[in-house]
Amino acid sequence: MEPDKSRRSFLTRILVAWASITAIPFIYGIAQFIYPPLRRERLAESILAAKITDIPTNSARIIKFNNKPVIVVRTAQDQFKAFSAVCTHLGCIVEYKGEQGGYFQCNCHGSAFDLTGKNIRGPAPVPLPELKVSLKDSDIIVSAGIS
Amino acid sequence: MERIRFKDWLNERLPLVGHLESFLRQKTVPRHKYSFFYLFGGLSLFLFGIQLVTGILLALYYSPTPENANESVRRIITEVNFGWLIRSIHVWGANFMVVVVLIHMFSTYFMKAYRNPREFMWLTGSVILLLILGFAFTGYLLPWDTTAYFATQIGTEIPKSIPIVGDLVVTLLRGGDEVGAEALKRMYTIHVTVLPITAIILILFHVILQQVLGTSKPIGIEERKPPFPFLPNYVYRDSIAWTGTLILLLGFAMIHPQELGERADPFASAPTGIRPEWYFLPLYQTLRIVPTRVLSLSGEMLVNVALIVGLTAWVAIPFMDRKADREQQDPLFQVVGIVLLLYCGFSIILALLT
Repeated sequence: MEPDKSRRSFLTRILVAWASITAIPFIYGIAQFIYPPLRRERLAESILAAKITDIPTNSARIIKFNNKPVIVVRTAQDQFKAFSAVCTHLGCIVEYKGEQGGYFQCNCHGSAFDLTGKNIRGPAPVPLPELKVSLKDSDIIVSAGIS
Repeated sequence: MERIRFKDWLNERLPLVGHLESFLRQKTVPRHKYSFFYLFGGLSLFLFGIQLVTGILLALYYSPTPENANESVRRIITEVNFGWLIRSIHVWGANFMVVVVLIHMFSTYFMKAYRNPREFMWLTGSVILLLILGFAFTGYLLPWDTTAYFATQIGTEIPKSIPIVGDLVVTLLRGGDEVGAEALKRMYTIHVTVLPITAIILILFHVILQQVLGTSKPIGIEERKPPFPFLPNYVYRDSIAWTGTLILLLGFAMIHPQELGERADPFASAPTGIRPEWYFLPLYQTLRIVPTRVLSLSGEMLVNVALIVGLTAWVAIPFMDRKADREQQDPLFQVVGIVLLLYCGFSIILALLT
């Protein structure tokens, strides 16, 4: 190769390397920036979900607990139970079907869960996580952890 | 005083214009029994232009926050002059665009226009198709109504089962672990900046390549008549197709204006009948029919992996169909194309009926 050409080729390579090295920290910074920071919120241990009289027998109410939807159900036998309302299939919010025998249904893909949270129909792979329910005077208290 | 024609005046200062004109006057388009399908490339470009203009207009009034999004769209369709029409054209335009781009892609596939030397046209075209589906997906959440909310919840949950990167993809799409204010901002930003800029660059590249390489002729097709001169003959045909499509689009937009649902409530049960748009129904139906677990593996994960492998293979077709480079038909690729079309068609019908 002629000396002039080889010098140009060498300089071109240096230029490409220079540009690449300069770009790396920018790309790293952008990648870090678009990854959302974790929210460090203090999680509540328990929440006043509703008054007993707010939920008639064989019906349910969806409440917000630590920013997540939780379904509190009063069964036909007057038992109070609470489950995560997020379908374990693809994250839709389930609905309580009291008239049809008492179970939870996800209207997105037809998954169903019984009153223990167990997945009984449809594509949901695992049960609904259960939460602890306690009654204090006329209040329904929902707390983390299984009852 | 000598009169200088404007064209000459412009050519002196912008010689590119003259070169472009003489280039386009020399350009021809093959004339044969499948020439009709050449119109769909130009139509895609035309519809992209419509989406760009109507999208810019909608952005003047739209507000991307969960508190205001639904109300701002309601204001567009009830208070802003021609707002209902602009929004309806934008929504129907998206549907038209997917149809036209799919016809363009399948006609390219069956006419084997991807063969040497047009491999990069196929590659860029495939990426543009994915971008268009990305436009549709990100735009769907923006009205922040119940259907949009749960459809996006499902749509952004699906990648979770992709091995290794699934959680990362979902977090990046949502800007957190749920569909909320951050997800809406991200979808909006992607919809109005990232996707349009990338699409414009790729479309420019695609169109320039088309001009440089010319229009491909299907294998074994005889041209009995001389080709169409591009300027003005073929441009006339394009103009007729564009005008016809515009009339059809306006008709749909006016006769069936796009409705707006109630503001989404992330703490309410999902209503019945949540379904994605028709072009995502093949994926939706596949997810419905694949069992939750297949040989102890997650069914969703298998669908995701199959989708990624399938898309990669589809993009790599010009490098696999070696017979096409020798101007020979390979029946295998024709069969694959027909099976794919039939599967998509049947799964859409099945999803709509069940």
